[in-house]
Amino acid sequence: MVLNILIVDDSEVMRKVIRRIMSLSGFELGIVMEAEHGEEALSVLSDNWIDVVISDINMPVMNGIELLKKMKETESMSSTPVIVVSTEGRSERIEEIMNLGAAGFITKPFNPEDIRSVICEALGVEADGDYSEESEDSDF
Amino acid sequence: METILKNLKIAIFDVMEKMFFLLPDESDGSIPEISDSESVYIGITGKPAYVVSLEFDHTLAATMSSDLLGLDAEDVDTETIQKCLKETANIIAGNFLLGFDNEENRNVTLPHMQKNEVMGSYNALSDNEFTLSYNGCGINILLEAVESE
Repeated sequence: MVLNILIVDDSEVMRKVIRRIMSLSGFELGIVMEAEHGEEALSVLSDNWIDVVISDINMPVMNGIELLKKMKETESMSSTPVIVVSTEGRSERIEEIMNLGAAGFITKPFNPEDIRSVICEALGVEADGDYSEESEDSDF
Repeated sequence: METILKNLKIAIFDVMEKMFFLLPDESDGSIPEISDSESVYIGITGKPAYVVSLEFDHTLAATMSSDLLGLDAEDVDTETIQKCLKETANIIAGNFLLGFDNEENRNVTLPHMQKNEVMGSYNALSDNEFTLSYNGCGINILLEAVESE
């Protein structure tokens, strides 16, 4: 399974860290794109096929919540899973973000197993890399 | 202050283990000396506010940065180390914040390399200092409860 991912974070270090952790997580990565904020992410999403977006919350210009809302409002992006990565780990905050349509939430710090588990759950894929029964039975 | 201090230690242990795969050295009673260091500062707003000072042994800071970014140690310059330490401080503070009551409505400030940039001028109400040892290198931690001047 080859994944095209978009990493959205205003911190260059965190983008590199997420890129590295993704490479250690066992996924076969296709295109890995980066954006510094939500507005840049929307531009990348409109021009590229992205399987998963991994986004921070607090960013200048357009934050992760606004990005999530805009994606849900845009037909061509609404089904792309967004995994939110943040230090804001309070359960109320996580619930709020999941209710906005995030496909998963990862609290920093995290390791490759954590990110693999959340992405697999978001994609309906088993963590060992096989498609779940639900996915095999689907029409896709 | 004791519970708050404990929460800070737990946050540091968690971040060091998960982000850098580092466990604290078993204590033999000695405290590692830090001659060359890199410091980063971050605050928690509220009443009282808190300022966390993290002074890393340079060797440890360089190792952490190279591990974090998957680079060779010689390819990590001071600017990169400082960026990595700011990110580390931000994540430690974010986890530390989870130990406070939600109703206290606290937030994490931006991390800085200069202490006076965290909260400007303030009066320290109380402080606690401790040292952790990783790979024989020290991290000095100072936690201050403060109020703005």
